[in-house]
Amino acid sequence: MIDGQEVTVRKGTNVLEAAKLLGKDISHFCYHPGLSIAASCRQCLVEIEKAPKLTPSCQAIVADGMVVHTDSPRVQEARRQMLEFTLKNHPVDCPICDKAGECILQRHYMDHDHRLSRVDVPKVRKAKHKDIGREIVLDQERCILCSRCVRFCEEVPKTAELGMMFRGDREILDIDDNRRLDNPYSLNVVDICPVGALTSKDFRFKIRAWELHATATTCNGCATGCAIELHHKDTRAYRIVPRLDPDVNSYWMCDAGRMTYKELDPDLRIHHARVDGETAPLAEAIAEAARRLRGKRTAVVYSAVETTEANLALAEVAKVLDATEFLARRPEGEVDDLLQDADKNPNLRGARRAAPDASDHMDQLALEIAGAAYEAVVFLGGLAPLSDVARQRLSSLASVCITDRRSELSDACAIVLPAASWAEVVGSYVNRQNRLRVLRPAFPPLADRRHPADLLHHLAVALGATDVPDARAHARALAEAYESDELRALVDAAEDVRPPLLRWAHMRG
Amino acid sequence: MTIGVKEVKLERTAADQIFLPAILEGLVTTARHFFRNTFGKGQPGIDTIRYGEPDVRTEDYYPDRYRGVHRLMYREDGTVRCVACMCCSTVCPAKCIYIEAEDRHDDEEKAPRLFVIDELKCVVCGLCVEACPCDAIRMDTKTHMTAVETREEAVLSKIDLLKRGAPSVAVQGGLGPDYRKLQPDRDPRFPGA
Amino acid sequence: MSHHLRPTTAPRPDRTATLLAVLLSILAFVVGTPAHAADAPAHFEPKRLVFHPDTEQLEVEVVNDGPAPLRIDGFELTGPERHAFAVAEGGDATTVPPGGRHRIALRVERGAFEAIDEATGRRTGKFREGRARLRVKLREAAGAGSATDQAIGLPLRFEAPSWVSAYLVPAVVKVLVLVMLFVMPLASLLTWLERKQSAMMQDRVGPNMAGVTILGKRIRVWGLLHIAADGLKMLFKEDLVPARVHKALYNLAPFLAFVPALAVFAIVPFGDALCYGQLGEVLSQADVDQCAAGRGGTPLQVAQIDVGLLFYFAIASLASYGTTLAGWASYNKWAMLGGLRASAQMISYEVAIGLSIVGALLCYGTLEPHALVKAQSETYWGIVLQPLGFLLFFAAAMAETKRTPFDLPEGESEIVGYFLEYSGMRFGLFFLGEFVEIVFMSAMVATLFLGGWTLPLDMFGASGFTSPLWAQLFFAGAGALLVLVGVSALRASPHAEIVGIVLTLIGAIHLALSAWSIFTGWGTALPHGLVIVVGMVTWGVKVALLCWLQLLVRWTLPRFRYDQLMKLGWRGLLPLAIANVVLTAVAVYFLMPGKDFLP
Repeated sequence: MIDGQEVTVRKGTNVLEAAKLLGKDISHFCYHPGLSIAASCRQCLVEIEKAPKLTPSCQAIVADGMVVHTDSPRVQEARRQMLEFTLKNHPVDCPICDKAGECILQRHYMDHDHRLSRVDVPKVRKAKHKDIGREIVLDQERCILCSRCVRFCEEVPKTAELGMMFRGDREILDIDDNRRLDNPYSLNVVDICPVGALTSKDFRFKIRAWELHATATTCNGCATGCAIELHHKDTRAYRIVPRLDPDVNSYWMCDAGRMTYKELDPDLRIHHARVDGETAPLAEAIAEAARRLRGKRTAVVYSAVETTEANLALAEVAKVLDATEFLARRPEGEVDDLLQDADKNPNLRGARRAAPDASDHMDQLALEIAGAAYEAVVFLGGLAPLSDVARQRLSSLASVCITDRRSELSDACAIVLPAASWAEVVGSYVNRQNRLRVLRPAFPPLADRRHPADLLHHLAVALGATDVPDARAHARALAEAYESDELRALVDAAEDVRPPLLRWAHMRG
Repeated sequence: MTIGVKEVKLERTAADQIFLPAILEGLVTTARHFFRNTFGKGQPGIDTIRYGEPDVRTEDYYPDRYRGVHRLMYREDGTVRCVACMCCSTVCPAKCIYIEAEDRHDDEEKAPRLFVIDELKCVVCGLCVEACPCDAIRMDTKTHMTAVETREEAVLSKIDLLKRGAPSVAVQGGLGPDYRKLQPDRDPRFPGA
Repeated sequence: MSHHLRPTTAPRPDRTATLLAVLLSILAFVVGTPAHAADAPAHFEPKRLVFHPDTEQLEVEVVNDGPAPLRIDGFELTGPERHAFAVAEGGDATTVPPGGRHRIALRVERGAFEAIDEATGRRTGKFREGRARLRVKLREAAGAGSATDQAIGLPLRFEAPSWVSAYLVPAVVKVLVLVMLFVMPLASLLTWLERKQSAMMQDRVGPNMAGVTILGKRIRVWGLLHIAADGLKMLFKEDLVPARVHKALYNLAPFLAFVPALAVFAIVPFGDALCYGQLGEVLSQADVDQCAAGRGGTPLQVAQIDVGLLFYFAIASLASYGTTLAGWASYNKWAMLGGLRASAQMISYEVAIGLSIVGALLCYGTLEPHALVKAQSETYWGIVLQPLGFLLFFAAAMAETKRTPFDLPEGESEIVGYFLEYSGMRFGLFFLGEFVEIVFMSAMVATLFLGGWTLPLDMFGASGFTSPLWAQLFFAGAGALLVLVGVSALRASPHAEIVGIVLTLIGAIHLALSAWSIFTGWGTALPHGLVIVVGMVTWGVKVALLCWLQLLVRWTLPRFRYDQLMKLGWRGLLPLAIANVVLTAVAVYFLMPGKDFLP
């Protein structure tokens, strides 16, 4: 019984989670559902009948017949007092702080305190912008000592670099003298930090949080396919943060995956079709590609990085051209038993689904191109690792490259078609668990960029194929095949769903 | 409760109906002003600022809260006060402020690398000044944006804005620890203070 | 305004000397003109007779100026062509009492002057000029002893002026004088006055910046030079033509709006008549009438058409084409709305404006403006006989000029107006045309209701003031007013010294003339040239004051709503105008026929 409403929960659930089920958000700093419970911030105090004093709700396990008041005057007062206590030595340098706008302390202050400071003694000064790791800057003044980050490092990557030192108002968060916060999951502490004490070097001072739009999509860094939120303003992406997916990545993601947003940089992108190095209108480029490809001995190269839809569309083209099939993929990389997978391709299984017979032997393709075994090659993505000789041969062949950004391959090909990136399309990956992972468009593809599956669809049509499905049809078919309501809803949704502005979305914590 | 209709009749006399007396009355009034202003000493108590006359300094006439061209304030050490919090560019209804932040590598941490105001877009609402938490941007210059030949000239950079600036010693975060002595009950929103 | 209305010093001594010199020279001119007094005991009215081929018989009167009755003994025709002339009536010997008149009719045998084609022997219809002189022998009838016989002579002239010299040249000269010296300056002045007057009415400063720097001194006569600045601006502004306009009509429209506004001035009389070669003489009304008929002179009216007012309605209606076409051809919805409103409004109010003057026409019995003015000066002014007609005409005229409170076609705050897409001098034509219309409407009101060029109460005739008292009052009043305005101008603005000094000077001259008249009785016999000048100035002042009144109305009243506008036109002015016509007709029928009230 919470605030007069009855709720029944699984055994072992704490009062805070139970209240959340009823839509009551009990303010808290140190509690994080993905971490152990510390009950150190005392912000989540609630009144439990028959208990002698206020109890931290994160620590109180729901019991039969328990009666809880989360909003009684006593609780409100306690909350306000705790907040004032927390704020006592907080520097309130929100104008400088990167967290401003998504700061839990700011939110609680506006919700529960909203008064002028009564502090008339100087605040305790601590170290500011302390470089504690490859990716992280620590501001000890802003820290409210909730110990979320300490627990994270102990419990998730199990590296335990961080610790609390000293006592009272001199207590600080710090690293050991001879260690640095360099574990591959270190950036998660930035997300879980309720204030701006831990900030990301990469994101530092780039943009204010309230200017960002958030799009829920999937990481393309490796075969894990973590659920992520892409934060972007207009057509420029600024960061990637993990999104809760209990089946795949829980609350976390790796640092390497966070950096994949950099490949969305507009300066690296291909905006218009090119034919023999000259910019050409898209329709003409496709017609020209079809004219050159028709009736040639052709190889097509699938991509384990592109969406399943694009690979399926390429399969249609391959069928029309009766082409030899290859599959390009990224080399293997770092692996651990948490989230990082050795297979750095987000969609190897999806590509295999589209082209079960494709050959993995890219060096063979390189040799055959160099040996003039093919008159035409169609590349999906800019990935194929070819020898220099093969690349030089490409410009004299009918080589078509469908890619979203410039690469050695795209520079070598005769015809380049501008594809939409993973942040601009509705698409799907199949991850290592054989789950369908959905890509949502964060912003519309500008200039001549199109969904690669659509480009291939147009190419197939131009080559004379009839009844070829387009990107949307492929996606719908995939949604049916994997019974994915998420993708189905996305395909059926209206064209432009503008992602919510972060300032209107609920702040993370 | 029912809704009733109450008819209100306008009292219109014949004189009102033919307009002429009222028109004449108006003409007499305006003519009186005309003659008094043209041939007499003018209407008492009305003072026109002779804007544009060579010997008239318009600054003397503007009220203190007049909003002129923006300026950026200095700290005591001569660096820009702005910390690139983007509050002004966020609140700006005309979206005329563009800021890019950089790291100062000192205790102040953050400063604008670019601070550009397109004065042609500016609607002179003054919200940027209201929003600024650092007393960094002000519009108290009492000067208009002058006419320009090209649009580029009206886009003011950080250097242009700092040229008009002055050192500001405002205390960040309000009045400081002695606020109760300095200004009790300053903000009615905070009765507990 | 305290810091710009500081009093300026009065004219300094060196200026006073100039003033005195100018004053004295003018006095010398006035005194030096020949007075009425003559040696002869009698004189002819008119002073000369001019025959045209279509006027075979003319009348002349002998007026006895002396204190005694005069015996007319006989007539004698002299001169080389005397055989072509003959006395038709009044040729008998008779006695004229003092102040009495004797009428003589003279005939001309025009065949005597007609050229005959030598080859065919036919008459060619071409006439040569001929001159003769009528001598009348006079003898004082009173007293036993016959005084010395005296004779007075009357020049007779037969002429057949060509169309060019009778109509074209005078018309062109009159057009130039009227348009260049009066209408356009006044219209341009109004563009400035509109702003300045509104400023004065609203306790503002108004335009005051434009000026020229001469010898390092900035001259800004109350911003009067804004006229020139605006004109230059309009001329040099880019003439934008929007892409989808109807090119021909778009280009035509400003001229259709501007030209009729000027063309209607053809019928406006701005004075009585000008007698060639008699500017320095004191003339009688008979002389002037003869000149007004085009014989030996020319009426001060560009075109003396019998259907003058119908001409006005016909031409003025064309102006609505200008506004309508401008709105339609601009390819702009606001301009279109403006054009629609303009056409609806102008057509509506033309009905009222036409009917409102019918009453005046009934009273005076003529459509010819010159004759209308004469009729008014002989009876009463139109504003006395037709007060309602005056009000209706004035209101409808304001509506015709499309100005507040009738400015819906160009409602700046909502649709900008039918000339929305025009720029540069094309817009300037609309703009100036509107002010020309204001001048014209004022001239029409002055002509129809305020006695044109005449002064009220029969105080001023063809030979000057009817009594020295009128002269004294007139000059004293005008002088006092001018001095007042001049001094106020001097005090009001330091930038207007020149204008203030000139006005004060002219006022002082008037006052001096008034004083002169008090001592000498001067003013009843003015030379023809001066009479014409007084008439034209009178007319000009009336028009200027009416323009001022229109501006005053425009800046006093708020705009009508469209339905109110239509209601006022159709349900207010039109019924009133009809009622006015009916009442006037009844009154004319019962009160006036046969009365000497009417001419």
